[in-house]
Amino acid sequence: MGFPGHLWWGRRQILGRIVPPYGSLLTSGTLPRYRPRLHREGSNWAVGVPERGPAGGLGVSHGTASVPRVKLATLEQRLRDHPGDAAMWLSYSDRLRERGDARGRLIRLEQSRARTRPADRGAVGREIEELVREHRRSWDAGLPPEATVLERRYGFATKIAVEWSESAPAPVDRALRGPFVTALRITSRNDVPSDEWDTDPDSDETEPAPNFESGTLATLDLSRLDELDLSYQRIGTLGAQALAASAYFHSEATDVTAPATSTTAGRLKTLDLRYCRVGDVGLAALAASPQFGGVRCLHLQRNALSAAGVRSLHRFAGLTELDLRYNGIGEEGVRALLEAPFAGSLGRMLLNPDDVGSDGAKLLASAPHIPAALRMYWRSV
Amino acid sequence: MSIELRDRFFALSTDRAPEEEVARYRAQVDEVDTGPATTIDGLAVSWHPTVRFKSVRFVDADLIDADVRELFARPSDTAPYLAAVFVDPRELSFRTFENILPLDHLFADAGLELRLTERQEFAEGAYSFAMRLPDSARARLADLDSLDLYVPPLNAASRGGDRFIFHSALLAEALTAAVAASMPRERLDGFSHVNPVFRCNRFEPDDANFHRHLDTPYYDAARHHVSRYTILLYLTGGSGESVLDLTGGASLTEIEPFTCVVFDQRYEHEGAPYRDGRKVFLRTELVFTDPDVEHDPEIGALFGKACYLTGESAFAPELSRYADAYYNRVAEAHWRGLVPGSSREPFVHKRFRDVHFVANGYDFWFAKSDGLSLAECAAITLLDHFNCKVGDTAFRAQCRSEVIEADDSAWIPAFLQGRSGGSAVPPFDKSVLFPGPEEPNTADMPACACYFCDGDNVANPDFDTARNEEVIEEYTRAQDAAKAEVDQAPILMLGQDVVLDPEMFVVEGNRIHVLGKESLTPVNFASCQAGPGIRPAKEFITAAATVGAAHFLVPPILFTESDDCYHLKFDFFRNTWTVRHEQSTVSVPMIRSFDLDSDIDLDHKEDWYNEEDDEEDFEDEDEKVS
Repeated sequence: MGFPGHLWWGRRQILGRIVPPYGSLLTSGTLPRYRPRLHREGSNWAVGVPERGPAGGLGVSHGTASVPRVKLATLEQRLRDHPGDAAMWLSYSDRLRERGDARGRLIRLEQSRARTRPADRGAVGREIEELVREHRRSWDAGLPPEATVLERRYGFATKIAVEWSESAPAPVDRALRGPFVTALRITSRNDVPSDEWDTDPDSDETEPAPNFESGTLATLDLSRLDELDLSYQRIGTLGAQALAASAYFHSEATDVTAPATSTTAGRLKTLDLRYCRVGDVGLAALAASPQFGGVRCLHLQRNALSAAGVRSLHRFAGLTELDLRYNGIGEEGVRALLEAPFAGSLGRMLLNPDDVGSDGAKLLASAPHIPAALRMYWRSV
Repeated sequence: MSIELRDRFFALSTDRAPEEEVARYRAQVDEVDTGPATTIDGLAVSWHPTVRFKSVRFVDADLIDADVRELFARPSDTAPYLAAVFVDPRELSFRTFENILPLDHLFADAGLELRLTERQEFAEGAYSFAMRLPDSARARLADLDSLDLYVPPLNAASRGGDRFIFHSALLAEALTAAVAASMPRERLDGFSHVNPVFRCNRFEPDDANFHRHLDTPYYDAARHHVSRYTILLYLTGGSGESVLDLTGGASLTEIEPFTCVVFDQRYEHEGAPYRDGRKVFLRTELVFTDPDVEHDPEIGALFGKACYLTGESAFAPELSRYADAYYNRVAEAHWRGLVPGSSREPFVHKRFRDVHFVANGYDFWFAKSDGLSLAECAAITLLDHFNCKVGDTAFRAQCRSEVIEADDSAWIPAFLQGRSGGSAVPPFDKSVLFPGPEEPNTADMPACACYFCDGDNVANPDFDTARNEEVIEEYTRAQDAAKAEVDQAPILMLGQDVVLDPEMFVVEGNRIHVLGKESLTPVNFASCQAGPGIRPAKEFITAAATVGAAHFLVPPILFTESDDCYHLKFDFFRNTWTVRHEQSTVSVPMIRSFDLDSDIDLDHKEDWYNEEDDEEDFEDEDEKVS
């Protein structure tokens, strides 16, 4: 089953390439206990395991049909990039069926259900349910027990949740090997007991929660993710800095042939940091990291942000959705927002009147830079 | 000053004051530009006339906000429950053109045993009767004139006298029985009832004639109802050259008090004042059921134009003569089919913000441009047709308008092409108004802030109302209630702005379906140690924004398009449709933060033991057991 050229890369070699400013940060966290794996695809290196069983997806295959076929890994990569491409999914379905994978049938059924007249959808739906009931356990067999599937597409896990702990990076890495897992939610155990709350009103509200391994976030490999959801995890400024460092960490680890990619935007499109308390400094660190440069949708509710934090948002040049509620950015923050390069293309921007004050609300209501519908909304506030 | 303005209006109205005094009064009113006192059914009203609020209406005083109700005059001693309000005529739409007064209780104990006797057919299909009724009923009818509820009709230019409109089911019911007993049987095939909406007309000897016209028939195709006869109840008697002249029929020169006249609505007619006294009469129609009644789309279109031009005449008085002519053609068409009218017809060129369009009440033309979608054209058509309120001002009052008379509509695309602009009603993502709740991390709000009740929730600096389960529950309820209004509205008013929900405008072939709300689902809004009280969860829900939701239940809008123009055709009066339009104001909820200073009430102490509460708790438990 081994793939020719498959290579295991040791931890020490990866860590040796960490960009210096972030090296000290890692020392406060726990070092990873897993080993990212690289393999060669053609002349390039890639992260992950190249060949998997049905549970994890399909390995590289060399088709035998007369029409040249793309490698399965390439097909999976394209589907990750274009998950809405129904025709490509049908091609993938054929490959799956050749291998006896029931998800090939599932793809066909789900696509046909959308085209079936409403009266007949019930029967197709029942067939789908039966198929899922029969096979789901085997489909999830490749996932680590620590992972919970939150979303699926055609039976494949696409979004998983993992409870964060010192040892969480290993199951996260394993779960991310699923061919279509592109969204990750980090959760934690139940709410922090009240006696663990920091009740000192003078304490820094951007401190990480005492039981959250913020430094370990630096070991996360975000390179395959479209969506990262850290909502309600009080990672604090430190956690945000660790996340920012992860980009350098992994770009250096994986990108042995093209170091220039450490400055290109990552594939992350959605970043949910609500209630993470990253503060202005943490947000600035994330904004400076190329890993997050492509984010379009950003949730930042209650992150102790001020106008300074809003200014660092300018580096997320492609933002189209922004939730800044419960951050008292005030009038100055509104001014910073209106100067952002994305101000004119924000389709959705959430702020409460209390966050911006009456002068900030007036600014938004008369701002020519933002879309008319947003301006109109603020006129009605 | 305002009280004087209010009272002088009625004094001058009843006393028929000299022209100079009226002119002085009008000038005085034009100097006053105060805002509305309140709104009634969405219509802004003032309790005295101003430069904006010049049109008087009478409404049931109970409909007026109690805080300002006493400011409004009650000019009628006989009907003191009716208050006089002043409205902005530019805000009127076809729904509110007419002020129909509820007068049923004037007749509640009047003993309306009404009979029509001494029938005479004075022309083919035209009859006169003597009305026989008890003195009490006779007195009530005679008193209608003294109610002083007359308001100038919108077509005052084409008719003389004063008029008010009232509704009385009791009077209609009594007349229905009398007509059924008195009219020739062959005339009553399919007779259903007398229309309970009456027009009370008053003419003084020096008033102008009510010019020659056809009465617009009552028409309700949903019930297959159509009127065929006009019924007049003359409450006063008198004589004149032709107090009722039926063209091609006969002319009455003398009328006895309490005479009833019924005539075929196909008669064009004219009525002159009495030579020597006040002429007061009621008019309504005999309604018949006719399952075979046909609907001619062109008549509907013409009727739509007539209504539209009536509303537009508030801005351009010259349009009222066109409206009048259209009403007449519609009435005539019901009996003889549509005949061509004048070759010239009026169009109104309007500019609403950056959008120019041309309308005649049925057709709406828009120049195609990149910034203007078909949905937006449909939205503007609806806003214009219903004269919706945008912010504090009616849509039509926000438009810059000019009347253009032309032989046809061929000029319009080229005319608009040079005026194509941007967007005035942009699409809006309603979900922005309803961000989902956060995940809860604390349970119910404690009853008080003591340690046993609260644990360490609200006292904790990290306590967050947005993540409290009970507050979230209230927030979700409030959102559901707001969504019920907003989600189903094709058009939203955000302050002075209008936005549309593109998903509510569905284009299918040459039709634009405007989706509307179905029946609204009712949504109901929502012990311990002696610690200070905490505000209940629902008090943390506050309004983030106020949004106006415009709902329409309307037929599809037809459209055609050329390379440079959208041409929408909108006929509201195709009577198989229930025409409904309503606007409502919705508060969009948000959760406010907990404030340790203001949200814990240190003066409030919950009783340690409250027997009543205890009993209620037990009752609840009993219910659960059973």
